[in-house]
Amino acid sequence: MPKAGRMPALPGESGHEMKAFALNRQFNHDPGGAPVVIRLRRVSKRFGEIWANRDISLTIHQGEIHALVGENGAGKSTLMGLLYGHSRPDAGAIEVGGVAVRLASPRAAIALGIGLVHQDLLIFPQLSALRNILIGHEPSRWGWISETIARRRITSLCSEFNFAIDLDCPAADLPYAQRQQIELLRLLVRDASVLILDEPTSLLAAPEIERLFELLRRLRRGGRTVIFVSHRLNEVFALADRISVLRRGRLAGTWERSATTPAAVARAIMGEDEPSALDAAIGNGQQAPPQALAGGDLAAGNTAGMSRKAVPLLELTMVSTASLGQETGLERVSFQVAAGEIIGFGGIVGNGLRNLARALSGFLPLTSGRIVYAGEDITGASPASRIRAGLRRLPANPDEEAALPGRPIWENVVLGHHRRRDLGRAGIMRRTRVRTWVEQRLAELDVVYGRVDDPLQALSGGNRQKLALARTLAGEVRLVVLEQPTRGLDFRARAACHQQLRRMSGGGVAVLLCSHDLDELFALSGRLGIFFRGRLVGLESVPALDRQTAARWLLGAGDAAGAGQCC
Amino acid sequence: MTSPRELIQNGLPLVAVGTACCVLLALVTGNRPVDLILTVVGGAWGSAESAMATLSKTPPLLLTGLAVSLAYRVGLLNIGGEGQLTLGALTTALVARSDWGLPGGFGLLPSLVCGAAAGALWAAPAMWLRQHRGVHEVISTLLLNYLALHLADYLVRGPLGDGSAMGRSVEIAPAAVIQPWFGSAVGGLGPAPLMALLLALGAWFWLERSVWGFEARAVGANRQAAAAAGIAVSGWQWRLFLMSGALAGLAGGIEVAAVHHRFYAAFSPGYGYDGITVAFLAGADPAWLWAGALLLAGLRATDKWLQLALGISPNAIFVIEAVLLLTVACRTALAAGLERGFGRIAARLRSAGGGSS
Repeated sequence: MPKAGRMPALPGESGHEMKAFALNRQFNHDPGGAPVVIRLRRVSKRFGEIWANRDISLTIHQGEIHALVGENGAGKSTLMGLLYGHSRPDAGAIEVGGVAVRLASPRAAIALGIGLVHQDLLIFPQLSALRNILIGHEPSRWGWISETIARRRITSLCSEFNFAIDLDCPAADLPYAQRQQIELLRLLVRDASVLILDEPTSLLAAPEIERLFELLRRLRRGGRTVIFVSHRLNEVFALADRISVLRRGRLAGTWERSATTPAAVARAIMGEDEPSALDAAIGNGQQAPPQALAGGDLAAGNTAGMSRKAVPLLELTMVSTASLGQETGLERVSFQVAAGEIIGFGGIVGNGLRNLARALSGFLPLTSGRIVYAGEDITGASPASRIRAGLRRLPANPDEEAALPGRPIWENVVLGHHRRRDLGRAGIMRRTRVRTWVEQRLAELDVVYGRVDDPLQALSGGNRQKLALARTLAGEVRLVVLEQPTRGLDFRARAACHQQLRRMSGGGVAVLLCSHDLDELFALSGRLGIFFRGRLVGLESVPALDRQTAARWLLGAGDAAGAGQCC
Repeated sequence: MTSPRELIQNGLPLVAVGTACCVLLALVTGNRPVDLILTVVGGAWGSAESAMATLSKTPPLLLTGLAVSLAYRVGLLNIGGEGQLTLGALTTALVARSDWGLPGGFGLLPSLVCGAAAGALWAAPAMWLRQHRGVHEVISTLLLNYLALHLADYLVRGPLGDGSAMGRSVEIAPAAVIQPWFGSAVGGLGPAPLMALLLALGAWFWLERSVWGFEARAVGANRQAAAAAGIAVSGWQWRLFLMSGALAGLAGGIEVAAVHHRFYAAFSPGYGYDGITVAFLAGADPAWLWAGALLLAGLRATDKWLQLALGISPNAIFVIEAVLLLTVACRTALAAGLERGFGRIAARLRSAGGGSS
């Protein structure tokens, strides 16, 4: 089976033959006439009563970048799981190189040249970069791992693709972008000819995204095939040769990029029926849309008058912290936030955004400086007292940091609000009141659920994120610190979330938004600040700030004089 | 509270495997399966006397089970019930030597409260090591058990003994005795099982319905999330772990006050460890601890009958117990298997019905 399953188009086992082959192909790249690498024939996959994939017929050509887009729960992850051998289809056939194959495990998929870069990178933090690349595929001599040959091979790959990874450094100490490169190298060193990337850009900053795209284009020139799963239409249109849209488990269509428009693809993703969500989706794919909603105007208005007249709701003065894990500490950070303002902070993963959120919520002590909130010095205040004062935070990975796994939905929503006076009497929680309250909160953010007694795991990833957001925004809120609030959300949910945030800021709530997504930051923020190595490199009101400057700040080329003293 | 569906899912495999185990044991030892099952059930519940003996064995099992469950609900494993129970019993026996002159039933209070406090005190070092030195509580409580057992042994044979060579303390004052309602002190039935049951149900209500119980359970479900919601994580771990130690100490105290009326060397026949079994059988749900305690007490009460009636070693009971525990350990898999089996039959019936109509 493995022999028969190998692609006839890629005869060689070794990288050299493969490259020679790739060179031959490089000059007559023609998606229409290119050989088919993978063909899906009416593939279906069912989980319980729900068809995650239904009758999907799709061809992937050799040497193309094929984008796969769709809403949360449209079936993208399931389909990629079928291709990578995580699960097997209930009906239909998968052909690789013209031969029907049974992908029983990821190992089988890799043997056929199919590799997957996971959205949440699968990295062993304590192992060196080299070991991480080799894991599961260690070259051995007499049963002992022989790193010399592998190291030579990987070093040459690194220089070929301009990766600057220190191979002996523990993966934990490498920045996110390089950890992603480790996953890519894992596939390249195994001669994978089809690379599947599941939302590879969600935690990358703009310049890193550009570098990743450059790399993918190079791989395409070398004859490899890339399947690119994404929520972001602008990236899809910048990169892909062809675009396939999944909608509710079915294939809504496949288009040549040159023959379609973002609007048409967005319509295919969402169906024709929802013009408002559609606008948001297209806006999301373009430059910052005009802030048409009332909340946006208000935020901008507040920004203008804030520094002189209004008393700030939050004021940080020369705040420094120790570093924590892979995240650099803050270094003399100062800024102010007014009530009703949406202030955005961007930065490459590891540059201090998480520690800013931790310091604000009381989980990371300051080494110097002070934080004043609502007129009171809260520098040493406990997390609980900050929550009571209306300072809330949505952590970056709510599943790990803010959820009770295995517990019912209602407990997860009421967590942190369980001491509300109207939900209990003499310390005993009143079940019917709690239930009604929870159902209202879930309805506000359109969380799709069965019963509030179902365990949390019954919800899809996007709905769990919405639930976490609902809990964070409920009750008496004056300032919310949101880390990646729309990570993993589709257009519609993202638009709903943005609308909710604008509504809240219109009602006087200050929103402090930490995100790696410049589009989102530009779309929502009144002012935008960028962190680099723990320092606030720049902070500027959004109409006055252009993307090139923000991108320069992301890489640390800030105006040092203005850093931290912007207001 | 567990739903009826879950109850069937958990209980059915248990009953099935227990019966199968008895049948196998009977066949291997050359007895009729019916005789064995009748002996096991009848030995525990066959007559008023045997039922009373079984019930009087439940309080220490129920209370140590509750001790393990409470700690487990904040994500901690208290393996130290044995030591906490032993020191609780010793302390109760010492305090109860003198009559404190309190009116009526209050005569019990000083000795039992001191017993519970001794249990909590013996749990405290494990918690301190966990919070401040990162020592896992399974290791520290286990080691503290040995310390407690030998300490109690030394004390009762030496400075705190009754002077005889028997390794026992003096008999407690009558005011500190839990008087039986029926029968004599040994094998009679007093209010102790009821007290233990009420404590367990109270703990259930507190955990499931109160704001504090919610916070404690949140700590057990995800420490990080609880902290992010402003809940004092280490505070709840301290409180429930001390409560756990206190309940184990109280188990020892009640055993002294209701049954033995004194402390003696090698006091506990392993009640502290049995508590782990009881908690495990009940899924750490205080509402179901009584079931686990009754099951275990029944098996323990029946062992001499096996020897007398059928000539089977009393140790056979431990085999049955172990198999039941293993069944609980893989009950999810068993329940899923049962469901699949039933599902397949149901599907076949459905398709057969569809074909004929």
